[in-house]
Amino acid sequence: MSLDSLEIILPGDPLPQLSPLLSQDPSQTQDTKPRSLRLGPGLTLSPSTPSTPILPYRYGTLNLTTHTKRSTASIVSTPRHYHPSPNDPVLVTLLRSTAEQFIVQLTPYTPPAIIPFENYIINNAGTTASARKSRPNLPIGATIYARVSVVHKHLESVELSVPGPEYGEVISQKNTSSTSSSQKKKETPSTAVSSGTTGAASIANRAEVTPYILTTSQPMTKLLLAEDTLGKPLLSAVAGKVPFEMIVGKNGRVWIDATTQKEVVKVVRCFKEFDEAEAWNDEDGGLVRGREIVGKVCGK
Amino acid sequence: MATLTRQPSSGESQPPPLTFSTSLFRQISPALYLQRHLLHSPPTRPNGRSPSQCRDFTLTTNSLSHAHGSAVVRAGDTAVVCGIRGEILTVAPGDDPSQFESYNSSPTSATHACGTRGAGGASWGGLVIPNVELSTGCSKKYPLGPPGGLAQTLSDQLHELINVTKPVSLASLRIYDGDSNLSSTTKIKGYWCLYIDVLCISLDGNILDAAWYAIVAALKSTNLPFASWNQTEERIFCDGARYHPISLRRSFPFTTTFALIPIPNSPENSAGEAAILINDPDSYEEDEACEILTILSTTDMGTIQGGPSQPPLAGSRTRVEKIEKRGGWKIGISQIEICTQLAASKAARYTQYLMKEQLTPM
Amino acid sequence: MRLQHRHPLPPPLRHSTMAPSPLAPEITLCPLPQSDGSCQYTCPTSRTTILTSVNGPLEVRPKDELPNHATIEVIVKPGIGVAGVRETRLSTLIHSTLQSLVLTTHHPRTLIQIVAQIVQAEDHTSLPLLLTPLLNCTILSLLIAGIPMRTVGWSVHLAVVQSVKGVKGVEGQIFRLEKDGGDEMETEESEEVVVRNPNSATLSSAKSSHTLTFSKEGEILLIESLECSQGGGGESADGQGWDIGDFLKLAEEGKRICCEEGMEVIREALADRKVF
Repeated sequence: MSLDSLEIILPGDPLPQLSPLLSQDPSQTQDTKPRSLRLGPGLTLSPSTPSTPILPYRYGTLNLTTHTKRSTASIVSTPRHYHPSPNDPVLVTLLRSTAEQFIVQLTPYTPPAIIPFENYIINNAGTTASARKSRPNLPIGATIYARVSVVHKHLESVELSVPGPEYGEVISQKNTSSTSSSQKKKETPSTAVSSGTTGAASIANRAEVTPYILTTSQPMTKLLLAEDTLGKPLLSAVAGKVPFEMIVGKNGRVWIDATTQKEVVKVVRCFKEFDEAEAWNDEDGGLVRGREIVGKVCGK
Repeated sequence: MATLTRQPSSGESQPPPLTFSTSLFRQISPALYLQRHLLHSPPTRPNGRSPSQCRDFTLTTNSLSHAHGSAVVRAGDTAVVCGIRGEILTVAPGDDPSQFESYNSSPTSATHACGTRGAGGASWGGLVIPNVELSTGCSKKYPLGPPGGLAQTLSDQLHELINVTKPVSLASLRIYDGDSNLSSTTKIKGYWCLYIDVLCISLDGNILDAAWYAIVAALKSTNLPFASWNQTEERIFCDGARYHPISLRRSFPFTTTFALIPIPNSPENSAGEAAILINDPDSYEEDEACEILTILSTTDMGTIQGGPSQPPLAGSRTRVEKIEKRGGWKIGISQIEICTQLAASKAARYTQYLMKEQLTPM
Repeated sequence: MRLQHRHPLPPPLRHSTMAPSPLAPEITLCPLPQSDGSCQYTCPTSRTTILTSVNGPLEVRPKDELPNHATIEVIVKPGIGVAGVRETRLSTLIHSTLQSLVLTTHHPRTLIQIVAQIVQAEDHTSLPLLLTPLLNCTILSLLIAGIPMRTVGWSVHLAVVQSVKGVKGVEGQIFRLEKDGGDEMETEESEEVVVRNPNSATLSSAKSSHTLTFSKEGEILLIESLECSQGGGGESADGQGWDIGDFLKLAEEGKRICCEEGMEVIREALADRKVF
């Protein structure tokens, strides 16, 4: 059960709908575990207002999930900046490596993030990159698909992890199979869209194709991540014309690959124009404008 | 000796709490140091004053011999010097003099770059131009160099205070054609332009109150030479021997500044007060204050015993002319009302002092 | 219109003009696509137009870094000329107001940068005319940028005018304050009217000007009230100013406007934006 109220909540608004979830009365609830509420982004505890202890700190709509074991409340809004939160899949660029960690760029406007080698798991057996032998030899500027593991506002930087072989350096399929030294990797994150027509024949001459990393706005990123709901109109329209592969990082970076360079550019232009037109703010979720853009870029 | 950590209730194995000397405590945790003082009963500030008590001040006027009027004000460790110098502004033929005689409209004609200093003041254009200098080494927070944010803000505040209070009768600053006694506007050949320079010698908080008081006292002590237009030379000449005071308001408003010190919820804070308002903060208190309230008000003239010969003034009730409250959110409307009363009583003290100073012969 | 859809560059501005009330400001959200949050605000009566842009949290210069708080930087850019003392004062006032609204502890050792450009104003030197639009515009762009805030505030500029004659205003702009004990009041004072968001001409005939900023909960965030009657000064200025009782009544009215009408304006402006 998801209680979505579409009413706009401003910072500091009282949230009486959360009060029943907070009942700490010991006489009333003799549960083994105290009922608790997990606060998602946009909500904070404020001890100064005892009547409504939960304070929203940015505007948006309240999203309350009660069907899981622990109910979760958050304020849904789309700020333009990416704020890292744990378990976010992100696409980062390697800046340099030190004796203990990779130093990577998460967003251009924040200090660099780090991937400690002990958090870099290179195969299914759980081997980490701590040992010098198993350390992947990544070039500067390599793109790494990683997950946010620790965000602490008082720490110097955000810590990322590579929790398994499905994460790690992003290399296009063709390159992976040709270089034997590199780990065999499959782009299997949930965000990869395969149009179904990608056959072995279409991967010919893949060596000349350079994948593209597109920077998108936060609403666009959310749209691309929700491939079955919000993003479906656009993604199916594009995939209907051009088969492509993509990896979406929540930090607003999208890696796009296709069989030819021309097709990569086509997909990138579709997404870019859709984003720049802010079509995601349309009433129909960008259905009409998305089709228009795809039609213009890829031809009828 | 002040104790930073609370005494452990039980357990001998615990290490003894850290203790510091008072002066060290004052340095390393100013917020806590101030809060402990204010939570004391009765509340006392680290400088020994009660929250609503302002500092004693001294006033000396006409100590600068080259200025037309001057005043030195010292309140606690805040000391300011204010000097006023009159410079002659020549009115070009065909210029409308009425534009000079209003506080709120600045003249648009760029030909009157006032005196020799042009854009030196906070804003050129008016006949009364304040400027404030903080980079005199008065405080380690304001190093030498171009004026910082505080100096610029203060300069603009003083300029605004002059526009709000309109202390000088601008018509009395006219310089007429010497041969004629007619006060027709065509006979106006120039104006006295008053440059008010405030120099802060030592800064220990609440510079605005001290600076404004110094300006008022300096204005009261200002004597300008008699100036007139000489038709043969076509210039304005001053009589070096004869001086006249300038025409001023009779009831001067004074500023009173309050600071709000936040008090977090703690076991010691049994009264549950969220914040304490203190009058006339020093710089140690200003650093911790979250909210500043400044009230510019005249005083109830009935309480002043000063000049018995003067007729009762119009509007003898306390009149507020400016309220500025910035930062924070804890001052309520009722507190503003209380502060207005405190401001009125402070204005009464200022006025009395000023009268005493004027009566003593130089 | 179809043409615009075919050429989606530059992005069409969503203009959310609140139609019914003539006192509601014109607000355009996100006119600057590259900034984190931006807003253009036009005061309906004085036509003062402000454009603000908020970026943050950003990397902070080591000089300005605060160990436990975000640094807020406010830059006010004048409509004409270079920034001077007046702009510094305005940015100090905005800064101190935002300091009590923004939850700076959420992003320690970062920078929240606010740039406010005065686009159009009747009087580029008048502090009261500029302060209210600057504050409202800044608060809206902070909301868009998703900067953590304790609550939101709204500002209103009220001018007390001696006589209703000669003051032109739209409906609802001019009102009288209720006086208790009307008999005691002098006759000329009963003529006093309050004008909301006055323009330059009205302000020049006003007795006093009050910029009042309240939070949604009715806390006083900023008061900038000053006597502004015309005159040559000297003894003619004796007895000017206002009684504190009158001010308190005015503050109550300002509180009502900010907490009720101001919040409605904010909610309506934001309701147009889709959230994911």
